[in-house]
Amino acid sequence: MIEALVTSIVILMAWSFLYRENIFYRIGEALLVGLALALSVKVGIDVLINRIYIPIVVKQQWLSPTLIAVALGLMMYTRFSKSLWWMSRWPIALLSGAGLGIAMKGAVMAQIVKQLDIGSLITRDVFTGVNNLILLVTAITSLAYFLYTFEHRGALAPIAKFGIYSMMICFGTTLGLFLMSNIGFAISLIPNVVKPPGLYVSIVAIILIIADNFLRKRK
Amino acid sequence: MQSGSLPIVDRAVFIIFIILIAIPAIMPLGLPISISSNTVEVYRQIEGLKGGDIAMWITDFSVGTWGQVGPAEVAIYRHLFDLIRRKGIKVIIVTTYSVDGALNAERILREYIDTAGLKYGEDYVNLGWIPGYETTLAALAKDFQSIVKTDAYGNTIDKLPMLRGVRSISDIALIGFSTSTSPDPYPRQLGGYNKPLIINTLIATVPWTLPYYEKRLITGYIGAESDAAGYEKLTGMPGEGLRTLDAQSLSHIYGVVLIIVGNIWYFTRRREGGRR
Repeated sequence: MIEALVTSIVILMAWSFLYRENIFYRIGEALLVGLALALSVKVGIDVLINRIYIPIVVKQQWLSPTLIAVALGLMMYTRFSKSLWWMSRWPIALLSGAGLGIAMKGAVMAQIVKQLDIGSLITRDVFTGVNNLILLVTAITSLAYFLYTFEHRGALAPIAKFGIYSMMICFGTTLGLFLMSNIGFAISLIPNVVKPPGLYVSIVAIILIIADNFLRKRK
Repeated sequence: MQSGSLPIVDRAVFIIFIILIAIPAIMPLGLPISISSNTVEVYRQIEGLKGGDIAMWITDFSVGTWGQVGPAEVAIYRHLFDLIRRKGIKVIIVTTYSVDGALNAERILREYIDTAGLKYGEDYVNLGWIPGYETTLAALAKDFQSIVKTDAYGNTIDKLPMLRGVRSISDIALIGFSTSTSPDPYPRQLGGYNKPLIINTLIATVPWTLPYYEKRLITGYIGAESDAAGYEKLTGMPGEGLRTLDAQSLSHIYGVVLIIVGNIWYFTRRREGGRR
């Protein structure tokens, strides 16, 4: 009951921005940032306790690789010291190098080699063949648009133009799908404010909006 | 326009939208549901698990995207836990991306899953958040024991019998993940092992996923509330997906109407010599 009530109050605080900038919206905004930060810190501390404090301090497993990770992590904070800041370069370099190396190792097969195989244009299923043809044409024409070493004249001009249209269709689809995602977020929240006890909070919010509107007009 | 307030047209667009999506929440319309082929594919891969198989589910989606990813995530968790009871599979839950995923996994386990009669550590484990994202994914695939030392509650791995035999990805029968950001790291590190790799994500991330799906680096995807509703129907366990589907359908019709009206308004103004 209380959880549902608090949920509906916070949802309406956020949505009150649709009426106008107001104190409830700002409180909701601050609540979100504060709670998100508090939760992140709480879970972060839990992780430190479970994965570092317990094995190293409680179980006294001093000679474990975790200790190296802890040392590297602490070195990050030397950034705040004018004389020791250079030490923070080591963990950053290690993180970047390891991250990049691991990502690149996987990327070669998953994102380059496998993706170069577009598939046959002549297939049993006509639509698959057409789809493969669209993939081939749009990939080549989109790449042609990014050929900056040649001026887009002659044969290259219409090819690059087609590439722009291909990308526009892609961007439009992406934007539309993002909109759909955002609509989904609102839909998942709406039952909280149209069913009791959230409904009562919604009624109060509507009364407040009407009253505020009336007072503003009188001024 | 008053200072600090939205233009009247914008307000009207949002208010009509809120009214439209509120109607099915009060009075369900019962619009027809069609189950997509990709949803059926995911269902079959999970249902195909056999007794003793280990499924690893990586819950990496952020709290803010619960509305889109949450319903399907709940449906999949319910299916997996149902399979523990029906077939005796084992389930590993883990988060690699950020704290959010661990919070979502914890919420699902606490609020939506009935774990009565199941043995923690033997039937399922929650490893919590193992920071590192892609490096963690790579380690989970190659040398599981090197990265998993404790679970989410501080229990050491030797107290979790079901993990004793898990050395690498070859000991896991199915891998699934949920994300509300880039799907790239998962097929990069977990694809190409001839294991089912399933994604549950935002509808906006589906086009990003398709190149991997077509090359079978990802073997199945769930990408919207409609897919979540379809999954709930397939498993016979109704949830948030089915409850919000009417609102989804109405909002999409509204979106199409807005696009048509917006274009008519734009071209009419242009013909009348208005600003382009």
